[in-house]
Amino acid sequence: MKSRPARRRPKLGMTWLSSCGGCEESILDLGPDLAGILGQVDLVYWPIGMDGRMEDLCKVPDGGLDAVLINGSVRTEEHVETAGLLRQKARIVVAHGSCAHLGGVYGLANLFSREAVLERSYGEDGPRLPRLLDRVKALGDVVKVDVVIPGCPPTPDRVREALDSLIRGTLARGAVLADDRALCRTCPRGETRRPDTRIRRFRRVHEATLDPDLCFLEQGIVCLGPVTRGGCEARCVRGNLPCRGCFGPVGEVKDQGGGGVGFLAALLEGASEEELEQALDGLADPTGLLYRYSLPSSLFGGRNEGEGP
Amino acid sequence: MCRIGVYICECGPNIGRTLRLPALVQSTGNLTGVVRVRRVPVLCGREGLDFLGEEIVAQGLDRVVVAGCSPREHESTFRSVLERAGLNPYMLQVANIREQCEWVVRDRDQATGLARRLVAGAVARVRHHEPLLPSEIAVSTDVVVIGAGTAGVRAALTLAGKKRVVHLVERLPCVGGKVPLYEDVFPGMACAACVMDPMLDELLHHDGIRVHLMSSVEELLGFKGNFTVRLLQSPRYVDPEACLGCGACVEACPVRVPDEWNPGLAERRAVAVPYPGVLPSLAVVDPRHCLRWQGEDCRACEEACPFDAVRFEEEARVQEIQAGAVIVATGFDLSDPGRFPQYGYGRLADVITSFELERMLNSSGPTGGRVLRKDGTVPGHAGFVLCVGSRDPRAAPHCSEVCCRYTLKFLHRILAQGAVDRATVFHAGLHLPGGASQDLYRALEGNPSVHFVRMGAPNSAGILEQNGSLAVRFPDEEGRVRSHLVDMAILAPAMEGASGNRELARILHLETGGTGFFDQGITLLDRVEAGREGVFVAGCAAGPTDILGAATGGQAAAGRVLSELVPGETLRLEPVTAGVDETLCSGCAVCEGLCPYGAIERKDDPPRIMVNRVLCRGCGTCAAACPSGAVHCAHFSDGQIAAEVEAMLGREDQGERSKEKGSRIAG
Ligand SMILES: Cc1cc2nc3c(=O)[nH]c(=O)nc-3n(C[C@H](O)[C@H](O)[C@H](O)COP(=O)(O)OP(=O)(O)OC[C@H]3O[C@@H](n4cnc5c(N)ncnc54)[C@H](O)[C@@H]3O)c2cc1C
Ligand code: SF4
Ligand code: SF4
Repeated sequence: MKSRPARRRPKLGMTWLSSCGGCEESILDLGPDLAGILGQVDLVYWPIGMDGRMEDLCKVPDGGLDAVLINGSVRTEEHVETAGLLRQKARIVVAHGSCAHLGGVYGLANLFSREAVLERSYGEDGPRLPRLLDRVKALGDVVKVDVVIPGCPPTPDRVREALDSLIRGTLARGAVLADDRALCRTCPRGETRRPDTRIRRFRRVHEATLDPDLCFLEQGIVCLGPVTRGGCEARCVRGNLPCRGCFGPVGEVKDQGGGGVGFLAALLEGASEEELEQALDGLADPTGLLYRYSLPSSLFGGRNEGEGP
Repeated sequence: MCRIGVYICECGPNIGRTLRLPALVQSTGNLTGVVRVRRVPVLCGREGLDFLGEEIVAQGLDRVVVAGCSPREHESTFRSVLERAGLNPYMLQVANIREQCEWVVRDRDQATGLARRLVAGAVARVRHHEPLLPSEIAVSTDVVVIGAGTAGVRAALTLAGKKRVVHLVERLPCVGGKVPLYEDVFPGMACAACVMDPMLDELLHHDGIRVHLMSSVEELLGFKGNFTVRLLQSPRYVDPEACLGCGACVEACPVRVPDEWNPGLAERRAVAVPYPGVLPSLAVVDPRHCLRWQGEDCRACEEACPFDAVRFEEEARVQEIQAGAVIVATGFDLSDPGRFPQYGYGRLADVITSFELERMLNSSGPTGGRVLRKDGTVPGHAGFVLCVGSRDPRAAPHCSEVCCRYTLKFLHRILAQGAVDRATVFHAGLHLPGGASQDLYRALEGNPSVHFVRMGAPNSAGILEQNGSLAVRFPDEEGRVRSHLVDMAILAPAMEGASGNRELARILHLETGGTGFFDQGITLLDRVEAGREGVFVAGCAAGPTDILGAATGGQAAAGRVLSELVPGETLRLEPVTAGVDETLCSGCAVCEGLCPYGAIERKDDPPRIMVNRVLCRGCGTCAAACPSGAVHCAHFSDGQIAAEVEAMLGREDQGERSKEKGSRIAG
């Protein structure tokens, strides 16, 4: 029998755009496994961990990287350039984490104009920055994305799964490395949800003594489990906090917040307009709550005037 | 590539005065997929329809857009043209340029621009249409009748006469409703049992009628021709096959509670044969009072029964029935006169209701037919107070229709048997329709023992105790307060819908009026319409009426069912229904409690949702709510809606794009 040729170590790049660093953390979260994984890849470009300069990256032939993991939102023109260059160099582009996947928490800046954001953050004489785009974007809005690792930050299992399949040569385009179904399916409290329960007033987490075993919706607490992909091992729920949606919407649902509005409206109950208003009183900052990770990739994109998503 | 034909109807003189049709024709011709645009004077006329059919064939069209009136008006007409021309009827889209443009927008350019957008939307949408196939099921001609009073029984027998299977659902342990409890009945003073018993006997022995006693309807799903009715039957704790109604158990039972068949007049045991002459003649154990449900191990009735008929182990039974129609014949209840404290009912011993008098007069009733005061003496002077609650906008605005007449009935009976010396009727105008009741009245005229006294207004009397007698006080027509002394006062409380009607209305998706009757569908030409297809209402359930009215209502409702549900007919099930993609459903149950038609079923292992295609009416509620995008409504897919909206907004090409990306509008 012919022995298989030893597999070449895949060439990997990793970088961040507009990012809090949590996704980089998610690499370090691999803990003891990290050393083994690093031993099996050829890490060519990783600005946060190594000396990574654009000039060096430019020298890599097109398609010379097997894969690149990009985290963070696309906020500046420089991000667009970096993403474009990496797209050219890498055969597989992985959107790493919610910001790259959906636009992320930074995407909430789309509720304000670029000028207002600059003014508020830096005042009159701000630092010299690469030019800010009119609005925050997801990675997929500027380059073609092949694989998504969802999460804010992604769980170690999901990152390990991505790197393992890269090493085994099985990282397939089009994959979202998470469940195909919403979190409720794998939620340890899923069975406790009763179909005819209606919510007369939303409560916020700090207003309630939370039952650790009962579906949050049964307790009048907004949980985005129904509108969010599973695959996170329900970590927040296990920690007695409701799902905030970082894994993004399921399958064909394009607008996670819209889906949230839809199903929460379905659960609301009130005999009159006033009662419904009251029920909604407990829903502070609905946009921030329902679109926390996904405003840039929603149908609305945001409130500011800018070119569409 | 699609071949779309667009037909712009001028609707006679209706479309084109404001709209600039030549411009609309021109812009439509440029839309992707459109191979033919024609203006037609009247598309819905014979000529127009023939023309449309010929065009589809001659032009080799695979999709059609009609721009004209509202789809509510002619969508189904045009669909059948497509079908006859060999196209699937769902390859049509209607753009409503009449009600939505021509008739509502004055400015010609604005109207034309709007029409352009609507047509562009329709064209973009029809490109995404897919052929849909209707399915057919046989109608069920079985009928569920709720309530076994005069109306329900009459309906059941009429239906069974035409070989329909009837399920007669009665919440009491017996059939017949109120009438078997009376002694005689107006207008002919016939004996109530003689009128009712032969009919009830026929009912109980009829092969085609299943009588479900002690049962209630818990759920109604589906639609005319195809209902699923869930019944809950409470246990009788007595085997109907073994029990003869001998009453040996009753004698043995140590418990005594007030008897609701003879309110204020008698006590009964925890096991009882409801009333003498009851049909079917069977005992029933009342778990609310039986000692066994109080934790004691009493078996007195079981031991006393010579036929071993007592069955403590019996349990409630749930049953699902398929039926094509439902007849609601739940009758009436008398309102509680205690609601008006001025009458003293419940406080003054000899203030009773007409129903209580009815029981006293009954020869097999608690007093053996004698009229007695609470102290056991015979009243010398009886006072009948009419309109207690009736015809008063603050209480029951309606006339209860039978009170004046049953009062005449009472007068004849008590005078005939010499039960009282004197009777006075306090009324606010007597309602005595029909020749026979006029005869009853005339026969009392000139009788020195009977007085008719007119009150100034309905529901205006009050009763006080005065020296061991009762003083009936009321303002007369001049507003002067008058007072008459009587020994016993018989109140005629307002009739209202049966006590469970509001809950039943919720279950049946019907509405009741303010006094609890199912009277919301009634029109001048139709007293059995309940306000929902396939559901009819009969007898006092629709509002106060007499026995004849109830019987006629039962027959009328049965007649409607017989003419509307014909054996062998099929029902066409619209293909516009929801479906669930099981690979996406998380089982979150958001959709489950929402379906107004109960079409959503939960399956376990794995937990997921299924839509019952027969029950689904395609309303789309579940599809809109599903946070996983797992429910799709045929003919209203996200792709179709997004294409239409985007084309209307002038982004025609993006329709295709959004289909690829599976774009989804909020939720
Ligand atoms: C005191 C009095 C005297 C009267 N005397 C006469 C008279 O002499 N002549 C005359 O023509 N009319 C008389 N009437 C009127 C007569 O009683 C009614 O016309 C007649 O009873 C109407 O029949 P029905 O079938 O509509 O209702 P009902 O007789 O009230 O029967 C309705 C049946 O439906 C059942 N039911 C109710 N709700 C439910 C439910 N949710 N599920 C299942 N079953 C249910 C009830 O238990 C009952 O068996 C009198 C009325 C009163 C109050
Ligand atoms: S078992 Fe119940 S119904 Fe029978 S005799 Fe005892 S108390 Fe009465
Ligand atoms: S709403 Fe959607 S995901 Fe939730 S149970 Fe219904 S079909 Fe399944």
